[in-house]
Amino acid sequence: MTKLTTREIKRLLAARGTPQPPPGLADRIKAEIPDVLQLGGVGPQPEGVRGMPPRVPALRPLWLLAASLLIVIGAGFVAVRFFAPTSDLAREIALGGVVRIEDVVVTVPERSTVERQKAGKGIAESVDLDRRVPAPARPGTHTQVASSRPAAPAGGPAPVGALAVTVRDGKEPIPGVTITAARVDAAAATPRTAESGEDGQAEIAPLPPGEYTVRAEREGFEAREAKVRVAAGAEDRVNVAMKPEAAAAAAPAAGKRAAADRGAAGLPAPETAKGSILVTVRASDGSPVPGATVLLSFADRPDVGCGFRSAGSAGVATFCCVAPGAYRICAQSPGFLAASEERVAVPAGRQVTVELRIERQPADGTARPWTCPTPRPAGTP
Amino acid sequence: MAEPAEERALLASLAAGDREAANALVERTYRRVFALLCKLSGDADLAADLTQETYRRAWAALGSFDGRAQFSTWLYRIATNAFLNHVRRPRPVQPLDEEHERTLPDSGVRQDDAAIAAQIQERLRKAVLALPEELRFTVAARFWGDAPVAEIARAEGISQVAIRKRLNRAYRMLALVLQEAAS
Repeated sequence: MTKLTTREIKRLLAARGTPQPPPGLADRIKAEIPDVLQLGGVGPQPEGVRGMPPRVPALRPLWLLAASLLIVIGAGFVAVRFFAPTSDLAREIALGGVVRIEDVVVTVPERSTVERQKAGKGIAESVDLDRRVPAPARPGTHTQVASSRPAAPAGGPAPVGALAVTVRDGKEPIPGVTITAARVDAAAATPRTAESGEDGQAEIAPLPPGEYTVRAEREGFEAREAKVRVAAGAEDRVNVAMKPEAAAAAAPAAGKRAAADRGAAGLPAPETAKGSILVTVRASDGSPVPGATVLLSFADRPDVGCGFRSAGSAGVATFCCVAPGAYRICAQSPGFLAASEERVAVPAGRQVTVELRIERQPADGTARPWTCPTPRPAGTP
Repeated sequence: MAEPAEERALLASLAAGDREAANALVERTYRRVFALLCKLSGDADLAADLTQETYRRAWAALGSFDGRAQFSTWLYRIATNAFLNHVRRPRPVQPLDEEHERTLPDSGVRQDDAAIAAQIQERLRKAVLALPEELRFTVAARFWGDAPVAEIARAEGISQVAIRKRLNRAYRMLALVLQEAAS
């Protein structure tokens, strides 16, 4: 047999000659039809809906309902997203700009990274501006009491900076200090003020970039002033060390040491009305000993030093602003034996004069200790 | 073959519990089912038994008929499966080839045209049975069940183009098989 073509194959397949069904076949088939016939689905489908998902006809209405709901929800989302009014502050600033800002305390919720990216760099600065506005006053936090703020130029947000001030006396924060920031290059601008909280911190934000004079004031403390340059988009930190007015007159080193010693010993702080001690150091022949070191300590706690002074050319050393009480004074100088006055009472508001005579050191150097001895506290072995 | 509209009406009556509709469907379809099975099996008696078996299965599986294709096309699929199950079922009888070899004339004897045609038809039947499953049903339904291509496509759940590709592929395979058998 030669190779058959497709036409010949079709002809062979379509060839008739099938025998007729045997008689009675139809009856035999009909006799086997069950009494109850259960047709599947909902019956034959109309031509128009064939091919639509899903294949199961019973699910087709549900599919159409779900598709319609998705379309409605999507259209609603698009309409709300682009046409509905929004209270998003950053979006309003981006669309309408800023004309004037004053006395506004805004609490801004955390925004997602996507929203920040959408807002763009220009809006980001405005957002930071809002975030720098402190929350309502809480115990232990600082409070911003600014009366007015410089207005941003119309047509868009201006770059701003911030100022964070920390006020301390030594290591102790000072609350209630009024911080004033006044622009140096714009005298007409209203100074901005803030008050430090329990943590000694105050924040002034936002601030237009420029040079400011920052002044810290509180009753009972010496006012301090400093010049600070505020940069755009940054927060400048300023640490202010303030001293009590009475202690400010004393030598800084002596004051620090005395305050530290007092704190360590648990002794009471000096009272407001203070006295002073005038110490004259002389040699045994009555001549002044310039350069002698005079040490001051509490009479009851001689192990706690209150400070020291160097005698001048006249051999005189002065301890001013000393709290009333009993003190121990010791003088020493190279080549001399130390001498001390164990108990000197200093009344409030009075000056006490003490004269100490120190002897030249013996040749062997063993008769008395060369330096001021540090007695042990009373009651200790 | 019943027209699609008439068949839909009968099926609707059948769904309503009309037993006469079932009789009418049998009357309209059993000849084609018998012819298809005759072509597949080459045995009229076997085809008659398988036709009964086909309708028996159809009534039992009537709940799975979803109406995508015509009822007759759905019956062709059941009839094809019934025949294949019959062929594959292990029986203590000789295989079909050996059984029919006895009835076929020897190649050395002079044959008339009818005998040659019968021999060719038998080879063609075996070649169709040797086709892959999807090609076998497509060829049987298209030529032995007289089902339109569109109807087969709906029954198979694929496009008409895919059915035509199946048919062309079947033609090539049948030509190859018949040529090998002749040589």
